[in-house]
Amino acid sequence: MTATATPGWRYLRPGDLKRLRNMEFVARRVVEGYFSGKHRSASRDSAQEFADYRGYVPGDDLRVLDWKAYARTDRFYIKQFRKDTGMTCYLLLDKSNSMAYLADRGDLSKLEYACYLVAALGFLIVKQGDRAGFCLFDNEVRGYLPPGGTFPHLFALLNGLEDLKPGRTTRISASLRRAFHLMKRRGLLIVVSDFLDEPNEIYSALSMFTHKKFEVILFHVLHDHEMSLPQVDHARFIDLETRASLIAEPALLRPAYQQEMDRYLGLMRAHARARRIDYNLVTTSTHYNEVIERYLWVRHAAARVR
Amino acid sequence: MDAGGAAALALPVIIHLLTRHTPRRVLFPTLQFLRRARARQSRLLRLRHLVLLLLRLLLVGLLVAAFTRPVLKLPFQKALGAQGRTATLIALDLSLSMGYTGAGATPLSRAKAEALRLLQSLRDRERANVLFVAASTTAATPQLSRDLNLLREEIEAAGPTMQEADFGAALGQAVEALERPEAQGLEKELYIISDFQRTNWAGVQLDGVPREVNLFLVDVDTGEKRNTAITSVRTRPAAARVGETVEMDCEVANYSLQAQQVPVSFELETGRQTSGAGAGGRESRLRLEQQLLVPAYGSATAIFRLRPQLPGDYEGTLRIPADALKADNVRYLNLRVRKGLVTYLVTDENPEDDATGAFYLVRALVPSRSKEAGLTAKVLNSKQAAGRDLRAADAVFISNLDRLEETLARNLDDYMMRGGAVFYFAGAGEVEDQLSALDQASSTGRVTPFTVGELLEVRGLGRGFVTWREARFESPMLSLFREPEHGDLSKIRFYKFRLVTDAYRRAETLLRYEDGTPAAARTRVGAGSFVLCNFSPHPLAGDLIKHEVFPPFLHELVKGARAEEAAPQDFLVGQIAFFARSRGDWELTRMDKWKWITAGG
Repeated sequence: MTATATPGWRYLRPGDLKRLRNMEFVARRVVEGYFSGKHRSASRDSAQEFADYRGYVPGDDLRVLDWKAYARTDRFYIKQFRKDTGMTCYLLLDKSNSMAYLADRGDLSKLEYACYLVAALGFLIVKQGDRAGFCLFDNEVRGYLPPGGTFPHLFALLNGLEDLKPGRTTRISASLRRAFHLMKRRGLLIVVSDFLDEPNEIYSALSMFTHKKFEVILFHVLHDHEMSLPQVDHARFIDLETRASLIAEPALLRPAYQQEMDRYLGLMRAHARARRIDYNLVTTSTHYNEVIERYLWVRHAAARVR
Repeated sequence: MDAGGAAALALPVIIHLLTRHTPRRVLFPTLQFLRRARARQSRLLRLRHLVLLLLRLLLVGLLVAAFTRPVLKLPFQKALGAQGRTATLIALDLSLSMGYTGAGATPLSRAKAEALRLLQSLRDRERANVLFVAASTTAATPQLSRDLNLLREEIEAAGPTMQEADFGAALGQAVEALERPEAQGLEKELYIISDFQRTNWAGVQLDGVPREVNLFLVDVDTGEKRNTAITSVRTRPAAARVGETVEMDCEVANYSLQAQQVPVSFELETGRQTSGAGAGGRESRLRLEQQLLVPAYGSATAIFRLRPQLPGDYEGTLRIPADALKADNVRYLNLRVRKGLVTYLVTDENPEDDATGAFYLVRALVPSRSKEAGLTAKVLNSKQAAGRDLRAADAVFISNLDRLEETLARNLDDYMMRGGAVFYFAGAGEVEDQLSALDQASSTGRVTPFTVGELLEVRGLGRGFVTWREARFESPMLSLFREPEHGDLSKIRFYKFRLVTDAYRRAETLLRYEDGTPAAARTRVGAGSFVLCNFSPHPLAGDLIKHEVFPPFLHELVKGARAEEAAPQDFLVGQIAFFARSRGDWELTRMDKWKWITAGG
């Protein structure tokens, strides 16, 4: 991927920038990097940059109370620090053929929707001074942009999304395993996909990341029709990847289909919960901005605990 | 039948074949779920077509037969199977979901109709009984009865409860009832009438029902429900103090086939000034709202955070939009906020004598006499502590007791079970006997994370002191000291510690000496915990009291050991309870623990 200076990207519009500029993406777990007000450091050797003292008021956290100052002066003082950040985030986007699904012309396909999500997340991460890497995959890794924290780097990422076409079949677990070896530095892994693969294999591959102390977030993108079948009387369904076909009456098949979907989604959630992976089911009927805003609000609230 | 009739019968077949539509081409992401659904449905789908064809044939056949006047015998449905006399038990589900109103008639009204129909089909003098199943199961009559009118009245009077149904216990009761002498020699039948909600039935085993009992499951589920419910609410910490962030987790479940957007609102009646995330200023009434996307048959959690600025009791309400089952759309809670943390120091030493560990403990717990101090310490001797209600304390420190009597041991056990934290310094004295007494009084069987032996004096050995070499910084009690500039725990010297045997595998080791001996470890006891400190604040046992880190170390122990959640209530919804005054505090007690209270007492 090469960086260009072309302004105006399809997947990051001025309206989106306005909404995103006041948001921030907070690491929930301890990550590599410098100690900061946003991200807690794993390194015991890292030093905070001390800025100033102020007087203690009831309710202040005793953790930042300077006991030495108290011993000398018999008064309580609170230390204040300068913030610093250093999180590395990897954005993985599924461009397999199944992501090309769209219900009607003028609708967003799942791939386009996912591109909007990735663009917004990439912007947030670079804007707050962290580093974002990018990886495209279908049945294997098709492109990789190593992490970077500059705006030209973000432009390269956005350029990579511009003319993205869906690729081949889905093999998420193989792609994840290949991508794992590309990611030298642990950090935050965000996978945006429809995850139409065997859940056991997907999570087995993700375990490689969690074992290496990555924080993993999944955005599972589906269309409403995948949740409950389109409203047609009698259909010949054609698989976007294999071109196999199946004739069925959706109205008759819907209850059993929804049970199968519920079972599959339940399995995806259960696996995520067991591995403390942040799992988010997203349907394309919800505007991507709303998804990002809501997700970040909850994440921000949870990250400030303890 | 003549040619005209045959032609008439052939007509539905022709119509059936002609009405099959040409399928519409639909590109779809994957066929895997469609295939699985079809495999599940395939027999039913073919059957449906077949049934449709047969119905059409039947209709025409009846019309044709009407002209030729055939004699038809339709099958007669007999409600009950037995030819002989029966002992019939009906288990009627009265759980919360049976009151669902979304689909017209509630499942309970359908269940009652089924139960009444069953009773009606019983012959005179057959025996029956009805079990009403909720969190506990009650029987209409003490044993199988011939008084069917009484059973009918009981069924008609039954209403839904606000509880889950414990069908495991109900089945046990049902089997016991059918094995009684009055059921001997009779054909035994058990009817379970329920909507078979997953939450009630997930762990139920039906193979406990004996073979000779005929089991019938009657499903009165009204079909697809769109019910969302608040399933749990947790506040952390359970007992907050002024200026501390309180987190409230509200779990919302979605019992429907579609993902739901659920707005969750939280209101807090304060009457005082509070601040909270998103509240935007000082209000006497705080209102927060969050939107949750709850997946089908899944749950999601709304997290509300606030920071009370004044002590007191705050009443809160969590709500989601009302649906066909309103009872589970609201939760009420009480948030108690105190000014600061309270500790008790239980010691038989003189806290004014600077040659004792108690002297330094008190001064480290409360280093300033300022009214703004966030922590207070009250000193009690062992006799005072035995008769005292310890629940007002966030933590109890025990150091140098002459004896630990059984009453004190039980009081401490009760305190820990309800969420209290006890820190025991294993210095000099009859430590082994005292810890053994605590274990014996324990409701859980054991509180001590390890067994201690003799007190070892390190002076004169090697350097003359030992230090801590390992610390569990992930624990909230020690996390502040992960960064050495907040206090370097490894610099503290100890001249005495106890040998350790028999470490309890369920204990959490917090600190270790350089030779691996546990220096401090924690055991969970009910909602609270017990921390055994294999060191002492006595000036001759080490230089702990001389370190600047000693006060924040104790403060962090107290803060970090607090219960995250309130002790579980042992009440069930619908159970009768009453208020009683005990030791100056009002207490909520169940009916079966009633104590008479003299007026004015």
